[in-house]
Amino acid sequence: MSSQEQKSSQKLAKEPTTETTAMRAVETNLDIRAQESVGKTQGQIVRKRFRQNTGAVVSLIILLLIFLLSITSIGVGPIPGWWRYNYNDMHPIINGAAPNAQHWFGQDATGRDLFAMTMRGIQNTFLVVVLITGIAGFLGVLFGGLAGYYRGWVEAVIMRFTDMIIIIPLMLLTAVLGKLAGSYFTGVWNTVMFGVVVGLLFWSSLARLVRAEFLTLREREFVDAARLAGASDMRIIFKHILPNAIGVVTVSISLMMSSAILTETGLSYLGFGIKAPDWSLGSLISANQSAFATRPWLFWFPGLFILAISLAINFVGDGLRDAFDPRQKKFNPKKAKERTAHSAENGLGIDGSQQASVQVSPWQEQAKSQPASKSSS
Amino acid sequence: MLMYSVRRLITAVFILLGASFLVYNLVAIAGNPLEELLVSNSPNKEQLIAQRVEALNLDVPAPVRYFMWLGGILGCFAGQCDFGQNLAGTPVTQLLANAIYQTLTLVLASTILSILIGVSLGIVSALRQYSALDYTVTFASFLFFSLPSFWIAVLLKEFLAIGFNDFLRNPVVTIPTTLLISLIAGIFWYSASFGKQRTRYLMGLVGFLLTAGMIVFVSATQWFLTPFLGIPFMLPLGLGAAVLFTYLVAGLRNRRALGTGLGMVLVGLIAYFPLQGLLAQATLLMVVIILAAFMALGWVLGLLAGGYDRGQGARVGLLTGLAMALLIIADRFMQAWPEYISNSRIKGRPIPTANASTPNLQGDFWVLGIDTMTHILLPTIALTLISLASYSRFSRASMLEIMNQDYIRTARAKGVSERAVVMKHAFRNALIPLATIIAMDIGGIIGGAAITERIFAFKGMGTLFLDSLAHTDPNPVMGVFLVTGLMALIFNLVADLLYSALDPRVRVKA
Repeated sequence: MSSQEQKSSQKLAKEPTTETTAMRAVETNLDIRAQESVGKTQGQIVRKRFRQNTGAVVSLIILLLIFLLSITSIGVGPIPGWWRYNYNDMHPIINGAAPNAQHWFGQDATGRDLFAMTMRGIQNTFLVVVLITGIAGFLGVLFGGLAGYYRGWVEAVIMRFTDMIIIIPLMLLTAVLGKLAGSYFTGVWNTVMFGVVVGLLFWSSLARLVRAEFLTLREREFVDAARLAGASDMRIIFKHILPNAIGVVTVSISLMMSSAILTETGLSYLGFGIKAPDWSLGSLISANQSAFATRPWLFWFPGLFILAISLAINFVGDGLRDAFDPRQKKFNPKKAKERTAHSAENGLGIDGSQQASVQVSPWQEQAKSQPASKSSS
Repeated sequence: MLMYSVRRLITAVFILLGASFLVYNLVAIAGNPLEELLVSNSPNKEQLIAQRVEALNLDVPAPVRYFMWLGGILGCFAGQCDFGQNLAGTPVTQLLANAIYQTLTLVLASTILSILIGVSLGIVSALRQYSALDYTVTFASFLFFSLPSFWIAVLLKEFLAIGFNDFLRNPVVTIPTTLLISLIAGIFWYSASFGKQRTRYLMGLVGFLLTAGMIVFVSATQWFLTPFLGIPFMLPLGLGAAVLFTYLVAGLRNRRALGTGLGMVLVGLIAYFPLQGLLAQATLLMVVIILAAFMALGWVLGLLAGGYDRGQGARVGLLTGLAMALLIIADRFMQAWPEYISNSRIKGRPIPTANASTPNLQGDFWVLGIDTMTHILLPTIALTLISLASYSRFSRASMLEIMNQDYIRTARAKGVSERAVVMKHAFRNALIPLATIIAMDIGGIIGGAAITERIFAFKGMGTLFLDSLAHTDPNPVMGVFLVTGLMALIFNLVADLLYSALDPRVRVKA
């Protein structure tokens, strides 16, 4: 055996202390992360991490499928869909209005087709949610960004204004404004106005988050560098700081979507949002809840769709958070096992008990096999 | 700190003034209070309109009328509150008092429950990160978080309330149902336990057998018709509580603390008999005093037991005393249960689906207490499920972050037991961000849960607001807004102060 080999075997033979173990774990972790991100843009890394998260990808596909179903089945505006019934025409009741081959989701008491009504509800819910998050996202980023970047009196004014919006319970103000919107607009414009009005009040929490993010980012070197290079304030805000805050913004907007769904359906349920003859998933439930004992399907289908959409958006949001935040490593269950193994090496499981059934990490096997090779030399 | 609070309060006053001005005018635009009179056909229409215009000052434009309304509110500082009156002429202060009472009955229990359950679930799932339990809790949190409250409430009414009432007619559980429920319980225990595979199987088996035994017992003794605890149940439950609290607070090696806990169980069992006579003529105040007395007794007992850390023993004694007092009171409620369900107004269907109490129900403190409990049962479950999710997610995230801190590694390195690491070093610090969230949520309690209130026909703040808005009744709307806004602002301040008090690293700008 050459001296070089002997040297390396001696090094390996040395019992690892807790400290070296921890250091190595950190190093390998860094290595893995460096390999993962070599030669890639941030967007590519995030997309890759997101794709590895099965739950989030499946949820995204489900969301798209629900959206496509609602669009293609009853069509949009003048464009007809493949479903033969309309959401407000009454038809003779078939099979006691229970779900059947003609009416998949059954019919309501007056013979309207529930499938068409539910699809219409999904379309309206999507429209309102997109409006709410679009407007609230824009305002939240704008106000939060301005307050965080300029500080001083701009921040004071904006944040007091935000406080004012925050202390007014959302339900109360949207109810008042939803009522206003309802008495001045009709048809689809009522739905649009409803979304706009709720969106105008939905931005306060996002503004706080964005402000906090901007407060830390504006002190970073790259901002100083940009300023020294003569960049204007607007350029620094939109080209330098905002791309770095995009993680926070994306995640909170996705979570905002799920609460927007519940707010929209809740307000429509209470009669402040979308009103008959148009339908929202919430107003469908409120119109049919008294018929639960006789016609439960009127209640089940809209409710299940609300649940499915909201759940899927939550999972997508969680996946995005994991993808953007490398500190919360959750994409790779193998890594998690290594971590448990690492703590087990120290003689302690994560619960402090001696853990027997753990996977041994590769380098530890090397260390164990070492005495044998030493004796052979 | 004082300067900071004063400055924040002054800002809060201005924010409230601005917001209330905005809302007042919005309400004025939202509808005309005279509308219902204008379309009515009553012969004295003109007179009624003139009367209402007079009562609500409708001849003054809204922005000016706001200041007249504000004058009434500011009268509170002179000892004479005037929140105006509603369309029927009832003072808003009186409406608000009733609504706040109903809202608090509705929301208080669910808030406490969701904080307790949510935080403990979050902590446990953080300690078992990436385990089956963690994934289950995460999925359940998302599910509950996505549940529309109006949907789950109707489901609870249809299945839980009506199902349970039907079940009471013949309270016998069939064997397949027993097996199914026990199997689910066994799987839960298996996934919640940890350690060696054999221990986990054993835990699952114990959970299965325990559940099955309980169901058979309940079914055989018709426990739901004549529930009881008595000494045979209070002894094991009390012992369990004493051991659990000792384990969590002091560790089982602290024999004095354990002794205090067991002593309190003994005290509770002995006090059970003499207390029965007293409890027969109970009032709410007496129940509160009994609870406080047991807690104080436990505290003193812990201090007397001494040891190197008397505080731990005292805390164990206090918690065990509370548990014993609650058991005694629960036992007394159960004794009143047969009387309650055989009451002519209940007719053997105890779980109602609406309203805050059974009208015209006669009975003593215990029967009326049971009546309130059965009425808030369903809304409490619905609200707890919904708000549980955010607490468990938040405490999990907070706990995970703390468990990765350097000082936790230091504590482990110097040989601190895992119990002390989790309970003393990690849990307390994980509570800091939670405390602010909880403070803000408590500020929001008074706003009520508009949708849940409507479904269960509670006349709380949410209902008051919605109904007044529907009738374009401006003063109650403003009253609700003012109370909720004020509470939110105050508790916002409390949350900030709490944060800086709990975490010395955070300083408020004086």
